[in-house]
Amino acid sequence: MFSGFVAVISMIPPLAILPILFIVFGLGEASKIVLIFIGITPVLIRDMSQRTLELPREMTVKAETLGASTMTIALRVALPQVLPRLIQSVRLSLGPAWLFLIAAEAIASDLGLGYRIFLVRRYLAMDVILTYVLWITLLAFLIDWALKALSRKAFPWAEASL
Amino acid sequence: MSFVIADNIFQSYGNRPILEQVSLEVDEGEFVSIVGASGCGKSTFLRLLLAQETPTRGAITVDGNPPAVEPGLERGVVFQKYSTFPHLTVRDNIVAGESFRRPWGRFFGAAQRAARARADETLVRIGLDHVADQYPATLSGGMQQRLAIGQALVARPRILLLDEPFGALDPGTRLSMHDFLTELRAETGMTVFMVTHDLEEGFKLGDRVIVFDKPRWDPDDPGAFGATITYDFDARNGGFPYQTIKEKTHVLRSN
Repeated sequence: MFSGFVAVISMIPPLAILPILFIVFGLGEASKIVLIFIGITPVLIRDMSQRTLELPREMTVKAETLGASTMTIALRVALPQVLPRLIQSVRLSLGPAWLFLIAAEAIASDLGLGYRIFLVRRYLAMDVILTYVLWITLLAFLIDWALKALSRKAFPWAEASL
Repeated sequence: MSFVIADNIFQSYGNRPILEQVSLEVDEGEFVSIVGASGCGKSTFLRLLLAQETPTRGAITVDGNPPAVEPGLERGVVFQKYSTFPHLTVRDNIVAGESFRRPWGRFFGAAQRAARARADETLVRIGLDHVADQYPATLSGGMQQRLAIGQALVARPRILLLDEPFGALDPGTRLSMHDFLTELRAETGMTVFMVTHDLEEGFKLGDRVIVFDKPRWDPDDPGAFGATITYDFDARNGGFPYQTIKEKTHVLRSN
């Protein structure tokens, strides 16, 4: 039932409700954070639930024969195994996250890289725009790299199975 | 009274009967090999023994307890694959055999250290102490199955269920796993059910070999009838029955 709810929620185009977010949360940082959250979370939830369902049935049965409760299976068997996949899907969601951020900054902001790109657009200042694009790319790459390093460090077993 | 009793089991999925009229009595400490062609319900029977499924009719009781509705501590299981937890080290996999029944699924503090020490002893016994800190994915197939069996045994089940445990191993590893299992069994005296495709393996390891087959066959509708136990061999003494003298007597002994 909850998955059906999430499936419907994830179909709402996040940018379409951006005006509502501006009305509710004001023009500050809060509405941008909420936009990214609304845009990314349903995808992550759906991915996680799918990955959990893909865990082999044998593993659950094995845990049950070792006396594990439902709670223990969730916390000690399922959760640790989907966490590296969570990081993986956050890495894949970085692109949409930046898209939402720049779109929000383009519409209403008084600072930020996306805001500045759209500010200098009216002067056709290509040199400045390209510099900002480079900066955004660098930041996105660094975040991606940091998540990868975190995944390696925190879940060495996931690397071992590859 | 027998230890494990399957009383007139029927199992069908929808309209399709898989098992019919399966009755079996097994004493404590017996090793039962289950053989049969593919699709003849031997894995279904193992799932019923495991209580992963409940039979459509009939019931399976262990030690006179009421029939289980889901797998529990009474039963231990080793599958062909996915029997170890890939996110735990070899040592923690063994610890899991004891700790998963705890409220949070783990030990804390001194209990944790004691459990790790006990796990190390177990690892020495099953010959995996040199890889205690590695993850199961880095082990060979035979070592993974040894780990899976060790993990199932530290939970101290009443019956051990093996679903083609050595099916994916090469012949040499398979032989050493036979010795390993025979040793463990001599130590623990546990009741074991093993599904296998390998008749030789079934007769070598088992005290009994039971064969699943369809007694009735409709050529127009192969799925019309279910399978049942068609043979029940005494596999002790290399498959030759009546070799053991039941009376305490000096007659027929050479000295």
